[in-house]
Amino acid sequence: MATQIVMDHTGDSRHEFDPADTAAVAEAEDRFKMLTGAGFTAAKRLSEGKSEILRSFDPTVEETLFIPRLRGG
Amino acid sequence: MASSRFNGLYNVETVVCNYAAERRAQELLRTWLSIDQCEQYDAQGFFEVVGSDTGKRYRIYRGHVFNIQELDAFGEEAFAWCLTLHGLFATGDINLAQKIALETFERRALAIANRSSKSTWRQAVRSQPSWLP
Repeated sequence: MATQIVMDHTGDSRHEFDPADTAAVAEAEDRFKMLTGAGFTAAKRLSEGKSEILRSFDPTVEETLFIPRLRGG
Repeated sequence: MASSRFNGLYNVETVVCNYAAERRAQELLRTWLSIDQCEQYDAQGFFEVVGSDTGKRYRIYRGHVFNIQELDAFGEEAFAWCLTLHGLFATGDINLAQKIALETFERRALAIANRSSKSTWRQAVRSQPSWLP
């Protein structure tokens, strides 16, 4: 199972999908496009505390984190 | 009376929700930290990251207002940065966003952050009573 984690006021919301399920993958891709289109940054977790920014949807990524837009404090 | 009782219940509910959100956010943060960062965070209340573009070191303290220290070559604070999220988020989420931003798109993140004119922390410590480090 792959997981999309969206930061929100509850901490986060999680959406799991099976990468082998075409309909679920399409839904996850729609979510990816919707969130990044709204200004969220998508990042995937690598090993040992490293991460990488995702520019496009990749169904093989196990864990994608969506970070809301940043601003100066 | 009814109104104040309602407000009291609302406040308790808000506190419980905030606590739950913070606990969740802290758990998420820990899964994205390296083992060294996690140990540092537990022991000292901050973790260090290396900027993706400059290689500079930053210390991210648990917090969300000017909680990022840019370190100089001696490991001392050169500046403090303020970078947060649009909207209301738990501190753990903000600190995780700061970590990922500095480690993957440092220049772009700092372009929108606010920087202190000089070391705010060192200045504050100097003006504090002697029992502070």
